[in-house]
Amino acid sequence: MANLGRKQIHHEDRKTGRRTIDQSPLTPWWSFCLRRESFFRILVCLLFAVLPLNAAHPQRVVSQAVGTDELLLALADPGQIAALSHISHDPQFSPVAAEARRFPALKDSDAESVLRFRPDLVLAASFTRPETLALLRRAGVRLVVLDRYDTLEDIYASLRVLGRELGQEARAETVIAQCRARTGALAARLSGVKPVRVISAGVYPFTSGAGTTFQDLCDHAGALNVATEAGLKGHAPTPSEKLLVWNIEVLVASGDERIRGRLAEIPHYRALPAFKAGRVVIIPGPMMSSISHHRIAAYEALARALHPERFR
Amino acid sequence: MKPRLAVPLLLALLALTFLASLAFGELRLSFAQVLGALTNGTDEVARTVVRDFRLPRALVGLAVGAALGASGVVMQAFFRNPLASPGLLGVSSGGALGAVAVLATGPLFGFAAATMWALPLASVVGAFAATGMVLMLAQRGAGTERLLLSGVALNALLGAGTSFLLTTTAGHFEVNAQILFWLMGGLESRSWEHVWMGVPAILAACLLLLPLGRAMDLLSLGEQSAQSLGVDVRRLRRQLIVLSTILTALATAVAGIVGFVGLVVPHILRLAFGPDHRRLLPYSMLGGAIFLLACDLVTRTFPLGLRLGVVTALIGGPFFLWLLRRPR
Repeated sequence: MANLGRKQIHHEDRKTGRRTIDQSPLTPWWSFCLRRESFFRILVCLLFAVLPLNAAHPQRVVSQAVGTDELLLALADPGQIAALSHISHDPQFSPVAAEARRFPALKDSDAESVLRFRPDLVLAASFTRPETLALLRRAGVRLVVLDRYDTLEDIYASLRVLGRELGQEARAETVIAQCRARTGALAARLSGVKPVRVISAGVYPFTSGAGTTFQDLCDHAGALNVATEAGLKGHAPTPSEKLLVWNIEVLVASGDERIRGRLAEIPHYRALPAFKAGRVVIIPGPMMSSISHHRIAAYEALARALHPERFR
Repeated sequence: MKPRLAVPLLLALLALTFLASLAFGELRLSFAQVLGALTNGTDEVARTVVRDFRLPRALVGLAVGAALGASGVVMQAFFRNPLASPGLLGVSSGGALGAVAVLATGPLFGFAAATMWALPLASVVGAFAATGMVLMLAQRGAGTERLLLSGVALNALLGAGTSFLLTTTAGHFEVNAQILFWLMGGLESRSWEHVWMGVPAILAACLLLLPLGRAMDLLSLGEQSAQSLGVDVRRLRRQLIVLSTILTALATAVAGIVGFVGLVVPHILRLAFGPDHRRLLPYSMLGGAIFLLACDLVTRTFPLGLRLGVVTALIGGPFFLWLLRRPR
């Protein structure tokens, strides 16, 4: 490499047969670049210099849970996604099932199914089985576990973390800004409304109190969660007799229209004046249980159902 | 304890637990409110709570307790083994598999499949199918031992089926939770429909069982002795199996899997009032009802959704262990 940039001239003495090499005076550096073989050398060097920069961001990301599917789809380039969770294609569970079908889905949620895709980053949630997380860690795969999703601010924090991991910080900020705009518009519409007294109802014999995603839903949709008002925290067994004196105006259920029939079979719901009057709001399951920014759709749906006058 | 004291004592305890079931719950109601709710009171909330929530729950609890108590006595007499219980022949497991199948397939066929009547019906069908299978498996030889072993094998097989359905529904957390809670038994959310489903048939089966006490006493001497004393053993065994299945199946259908009642109650009463089946049968019916209503009161008192099956097992388990370790 010492001769780079200098023109070498080969001389051969015809009498003695000796070969000498002379070095020409210094030539401009760019003349070296113009030579074909040198051009390719430089190109290769540049490629090696640039590749590590790209390799810093994962190119084979596997999402292990529905919630992380939603975040990944919002932020990653399609080429970065290796696979999504095993239930990502099922609209019963995923609010982004149609979009998710463009990508492979895991066969199962276990570590082996994840590792089959040879990921360089795995996204999981705190409710992923601990043994699966341990096996993935043992396999030396980079693992990001998202563990806060009770409020939108938690989700924004997760979006930022994931944005950094994927090298998509700007996209994360764009998504957050869009979310803030939607929730801001919703808050403006609901400004000054009298909160409607609601409860999370279902065949699952637990209801949602303070510190749950349902409470977050109520906070954004102009609703007052009577379970929280009564002092319930987290997911608590649904009271039966107390419901009669909690002055519930609307029941909020997750699922589809068939849930009305199921609620009618449960004495403490069918005895409620709200139920008798048909005041049941049904939010699609994947929307209701979303732990990503897609839950804003649930805020909007509930707000529209509880305060239709504000959406005319 | 003198047997003549048994009936008044048990009736008094039953009245007490039944009234307590009407009086205690989430909402504090005064005696006047409870009384008013049962008569012509104007307090709408109290009327709904007592008439639509607590009364059906107490009636179902009473019937289920009586059914399991009686079924326990029958099973212990049938196998001449004090450790026999209503679920021994796979009746409860069959009922559980039937009910769980309905709950698990609910999301596939829409919730219509899991309506209020479908679940108990499937449970009863499952229970009878299990008993039929046991009888069929044990037909060759038809000895008690073979019947018992067939029951053990079938319990394992049906349990595996239930576990399989439980795992396949893991994605549907609501369905999964319903199955789980059903398997742990419970009287919450029992309605008048459950009363009509279970109580009349349980009452009828209990009444049909009562005259068999004398024959059961003779059976306890051994099949040959009973036969020589004029008992049609084959007919009696068939009657006992059918009635025990009906009782266990209906109890399971309306309250889920509730263990230990059929094991614990007959033993306590046998220790207190002697082994005469003519007395033990009605006493166990009353005792089972008292035990179950008392356990249900515990589930209402403790928060965090303490299940009925858990309470009966918490009381029944230690008793069972004591029974095993007791010097004979």
